[in-house]
Amino acid sequence: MSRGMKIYIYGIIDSNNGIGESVCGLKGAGVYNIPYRDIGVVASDLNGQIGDITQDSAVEHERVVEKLMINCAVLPVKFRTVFASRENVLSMMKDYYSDFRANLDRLRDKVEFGIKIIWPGEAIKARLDIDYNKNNASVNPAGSVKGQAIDWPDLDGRLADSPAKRFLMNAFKNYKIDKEFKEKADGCIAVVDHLFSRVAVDKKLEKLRTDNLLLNAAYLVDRNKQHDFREAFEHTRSVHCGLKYLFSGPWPPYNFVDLRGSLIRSGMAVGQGARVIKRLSLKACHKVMRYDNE
Amino acid sequence: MTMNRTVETDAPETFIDEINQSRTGLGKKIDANPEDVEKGLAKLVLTLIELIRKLMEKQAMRRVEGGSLTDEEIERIGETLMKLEDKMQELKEVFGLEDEELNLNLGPLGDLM
Repeated sequence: MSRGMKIYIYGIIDSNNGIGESVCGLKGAGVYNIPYRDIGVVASDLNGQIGDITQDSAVEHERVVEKLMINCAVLPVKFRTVFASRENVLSMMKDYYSDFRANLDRLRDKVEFGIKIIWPGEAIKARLDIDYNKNNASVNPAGSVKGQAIDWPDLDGRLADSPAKRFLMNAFKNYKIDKEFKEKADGCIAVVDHLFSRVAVDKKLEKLRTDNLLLNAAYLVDRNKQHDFREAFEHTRSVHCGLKYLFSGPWPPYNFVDLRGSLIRSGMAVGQGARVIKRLSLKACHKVMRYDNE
Repeated sequence: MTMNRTVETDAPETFIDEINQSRTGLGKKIDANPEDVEKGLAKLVLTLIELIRKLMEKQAMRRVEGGSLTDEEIERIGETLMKLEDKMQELKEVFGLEDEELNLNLGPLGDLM
């Protein structure tokens, strides 16, 4: 490897053999396997800087991972992960071999699907606001929810016009509306998630990233159950038709690589381990890619 | 064999809008270039202050909900929270920051706020 050459990595695979078919990597670079014990790191040589993030480069990275998945279990590595040398890659493999091995075994023959759901969150919140005002106007300005009066202290008019009290009342109103809004969201998510969870083996749910984005979920599904998952989606969409859906997949299981054990240990270790794990950070880059593809 | 990828939605524009909205907040790196270093650091510090302020507010709301506060306590808590919010507003204006910028993505744990 010439001076200044770095190593760009795509993923960790459960094979220490060479990459069989001709796989084309970032900027047309050749792709090869750096073996370590019975697993390997799939990499390309990178001459100079990695360059800007572009849709093309994200897709090139993703294509390599997908090709690897045809014959191997793959831990996809975050887009734009670069090591300074082969020695650094091997050192990282030595430190985290057992975690990589465990993840590879767990994710073999699994794929990931993404589900995003939009509900009329802003309208629901506006409705809750109206209901709150209606239900509580006749009780006291602080309010009650679901007919349960809030027992504000008897203020004897002393604090009735206090800006501080008015501020607290308003904050309390927002708190109650927000609480009820989240309860409604939880209920809606539970109904939908139940249908997907029957087919999936694992899931990552993120609720209410915005008021309208009810659910942003990733489901881990056995490769041979992909069709069932798709059917679950079609069923959900037909039953709960008041929602808007975004379905995507199958993806490599970006969201299900679990390196918690490594992170705990690297916290106890000094230096290289912690630095390496920061650089490696096997986290979901598919969200970016998905968005770019849209 | 290739992966038969599908990306399917009945409302692409709506999803793009919501995804864009959900991306506001503190980035993964502090903007520490010479021109903006002050703003970048202020953003981080104010995000943490805002977190503490919101925790205090939530705790106060739970106490209100519990109905155990005296009128003096209500006045004192209300005044504290109000002054905190005013001060935060002032600091945000000084550093040219918007509410939605004061957030932090904690990866698998979700957003700070």
